[in-house]
Amino acid sequence: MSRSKRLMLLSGASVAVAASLSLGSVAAQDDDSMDDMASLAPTESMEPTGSMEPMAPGLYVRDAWTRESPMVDLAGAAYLVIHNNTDADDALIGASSPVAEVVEIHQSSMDDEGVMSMAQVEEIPIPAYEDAILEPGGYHIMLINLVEPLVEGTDVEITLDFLTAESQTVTAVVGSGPVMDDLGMSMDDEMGDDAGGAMGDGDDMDDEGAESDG
Amino acid sequence: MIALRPTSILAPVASLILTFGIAGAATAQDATPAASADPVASVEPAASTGPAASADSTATVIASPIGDPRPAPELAGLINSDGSPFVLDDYLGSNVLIYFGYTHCPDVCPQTIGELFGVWEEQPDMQALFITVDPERDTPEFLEEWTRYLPENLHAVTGTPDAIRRAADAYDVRFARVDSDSSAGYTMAHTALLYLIDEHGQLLLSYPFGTPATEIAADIAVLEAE
Repeated sequence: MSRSKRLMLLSGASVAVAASLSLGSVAAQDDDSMDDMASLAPTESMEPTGSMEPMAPGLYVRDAWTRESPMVDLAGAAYLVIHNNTDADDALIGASSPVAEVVEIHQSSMDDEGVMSMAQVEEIPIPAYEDAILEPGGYHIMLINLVEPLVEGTDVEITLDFLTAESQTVTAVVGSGPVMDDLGMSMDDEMGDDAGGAMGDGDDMDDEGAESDG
Repeated sequence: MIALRPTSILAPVASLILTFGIAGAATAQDATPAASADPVASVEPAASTGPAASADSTATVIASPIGDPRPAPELAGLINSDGSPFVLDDYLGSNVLIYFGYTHCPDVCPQTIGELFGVWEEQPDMQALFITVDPERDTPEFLEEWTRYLPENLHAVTGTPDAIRRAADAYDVRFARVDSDSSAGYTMAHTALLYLIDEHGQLLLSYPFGTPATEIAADIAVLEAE
């Protein structure tokens, strides 16, 4: 479980670095996110937080963001990570948002010949004690028929409907990548529970980093 | 604004350029300039090197040699967003990244354009050419509106379905319309590589989806230094 979480962190970081993007402003916001990334890894790997209280069972959503979308004619895409801290599988089966008339769940994928396509899916599985990762090039939430443009730095509310768990409304930041906020940090710190201490976490992190770079 | 640029990045760049030199020699590319100048001629040799080379690199992304450097295949019959004829040679003197995509693509294409922003941070003079594979929705008028929200260095072109198919074939780009029940309408399945053309109009490299902007920028820095 913690391994997949750390992998997500790494992939999240690389996404933000690669995608200094979106339609429009780049500079200031990206600097911030870069700084966040830079400070995140060491903090997460080295800081013994001592937050040993177990995370209550349930679904935990983090790193929600949606891409800037200046033209309402074009659909927006939202990304996030859902951690299932229960012993039962669940699934994301739908979503809604005040900023879009229609919200759908889609999945991009690449075939053996490099052709990328996108299809609507009925659900995204969230296996017990694992993460469902929505990220560019994979699962994402489509915000269709936007009521207004999605402007960088603003917030978008998205209500997530699950197969089993109760619906949750989360706030997605409009920007070019996931924002690692304090909530995300503290949640990730707590996963030290099953990893045997802070130093172990740090080592794991480095190992994963090397793998993903190679 | 200045992205971290670890010196270790130099290593992959060097090896990348080396790779492309060696592979270029090893690949029997019979796509002569004469052959590629005819956009109708399907460039079969490229089919074995381009996307095929990227398919096995989903885990590790790295630029793929596209065969011997060769004059960038002509892009005939395309039109600019202001309705004027597009002329590829206008790019001579600039490094250009070409991408085939479509504006109604909510996930893959914006992500790739995001990478362009990353490249621009380090190589602000780099030019980008967006060729739509969805001329039905991406009319000149729509592209004109769309590019208003993008940097001036990004140029978007469209054309008749025939012209776009010929352009795609010349770069070994595959695309197809996929109808869907989604409220977002139909989608376009397409290869999502970035093609790097140097200031001399030579097609050099292709980058698979997900290549970090820093790698692309580093390659362009190498070209700029030559």
